[in-house]
Amino acid sequence: MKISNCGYYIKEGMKSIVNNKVMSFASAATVAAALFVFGVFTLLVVNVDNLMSDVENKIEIQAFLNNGVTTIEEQNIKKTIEDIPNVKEIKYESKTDALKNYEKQLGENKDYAKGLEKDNPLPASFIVKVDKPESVVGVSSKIKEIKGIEKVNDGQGVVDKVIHITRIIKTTSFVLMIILGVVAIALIANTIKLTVYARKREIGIMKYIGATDWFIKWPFVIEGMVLGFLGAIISIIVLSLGYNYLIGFIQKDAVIFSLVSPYQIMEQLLWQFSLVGVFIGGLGSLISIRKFLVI
Amino acid sequence: MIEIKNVSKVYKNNVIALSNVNISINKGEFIFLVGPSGAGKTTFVKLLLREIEPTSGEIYVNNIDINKLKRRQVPYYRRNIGVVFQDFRLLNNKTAYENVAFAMRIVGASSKEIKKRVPQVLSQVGLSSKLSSYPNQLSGGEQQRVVLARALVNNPVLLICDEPTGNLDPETANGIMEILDNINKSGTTILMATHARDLVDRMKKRVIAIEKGVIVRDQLRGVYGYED
Repeated sequence: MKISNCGYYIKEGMKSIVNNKVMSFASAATVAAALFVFGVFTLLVVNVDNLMSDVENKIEIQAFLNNGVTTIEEQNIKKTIEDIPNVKEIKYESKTDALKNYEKQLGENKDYAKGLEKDNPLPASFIVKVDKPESVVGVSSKIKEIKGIEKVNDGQGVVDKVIHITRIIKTTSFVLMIILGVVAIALIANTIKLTVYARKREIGIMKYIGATDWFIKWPFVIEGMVLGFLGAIISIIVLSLGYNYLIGFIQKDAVIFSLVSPYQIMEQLLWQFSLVGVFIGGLGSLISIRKFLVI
Repeated sequence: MIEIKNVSKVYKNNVIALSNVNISINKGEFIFLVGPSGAGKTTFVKLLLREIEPTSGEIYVNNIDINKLKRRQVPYYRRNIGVVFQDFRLLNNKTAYENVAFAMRIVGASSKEIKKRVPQVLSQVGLSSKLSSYPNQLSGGEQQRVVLARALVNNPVLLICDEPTGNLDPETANGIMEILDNINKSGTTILMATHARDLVDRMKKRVIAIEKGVIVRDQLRGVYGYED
């Protein structure tokens, strides 16, 4: 690329965008639509991931001890649990701790717990954290077999459901993203091909008067990159608006889970989409123009 | 300057467009290429422009075997050749000035050179007053003059014209021929494929006649020689 021609290439590319307004809009809109759908799934996956790690952090197995277990036996049980693979962390909760926590949970109604101090019915327990949600079942069944353990509470029903749902969402998103990606590239290449076809005659003339292939290609490539970039910006704007609306909606009516902050995720998406848009636009132009250069 | 040696061209559908053609053209000549439609004139022009390659034989332009040129070298070869077509082929979204300037930009001329040279060439073809007109604001004759200016602006050694007067009325055609004659007198070799009997007969230049892909006549100071 000759530096002296840079200005010309950029000027021609821009001029062509303005002169072919309808096709330019169609190209940018195609890129925007594709990236928008891509963005929706990205947001979905990011949030599901976030939710998953939330759940992962919350998952714990509580193993209640039999009432007459001695301190030495407690130490042995602790060791046995620690030796189980996939156990990440183990914490001892004494009878007194258990009562305190109970009072905390009761909050305003903590009077109900009054009098329990004398003959504390709450058992001591080990609170065990595992490395990943999938390990809960194995670990908890091993703990159950330990002598001195009365009961194990692993919240398994909830965990299983969460794992199952996130897995379905992630797999579906991934498959859909691949399919959509292919469809989007085909659509974009086709749209650009139409703009190039409309200027087939022009390209032919340039070839006859001795223009090199790259002299002809550059304005098209720049045009494609600019349109791809515009498409990326449009999709980011629409995504941001939609996502902010959704966050407002969810945070008002539901408190069970929180969405990832829009600023951090949008900034990242802006970079990625801009690059992808510019790349798809430029590449689409290059692919589309190739066969028109054989003169 | 141009040596065409034993050139044959057979298209994919087995149509023989040219068969065993031998022509030698000297620098500064003015040559009419005549013959009925489908005789091979356009194939001849396309071969010289290196748009297609011959099935066999060699074509030398300025001692270069143009069929040995690599794809990326072809544009540089074409810059030595001016082309004029029957259907003008101007860029419709550019003014007369910009169309001519474009040909200079392609060869990497500086803005300064372009500003100096373009008005000069446009006045050479008599279009000084139409610099900022778009092709659809120009008459056929005027458009063809812009094409001529574009073909000439980079000082080509050879000017190839494929029926340049085919779409023009006789009077306008005469104007174009006058310009071509002047260009030729200043040393540019001209090869013109045409059906215009009057022009050929009047100009008394070398005439090469092709029929069914074979050269049937090559005479200096010739005439058109066909019944209409």
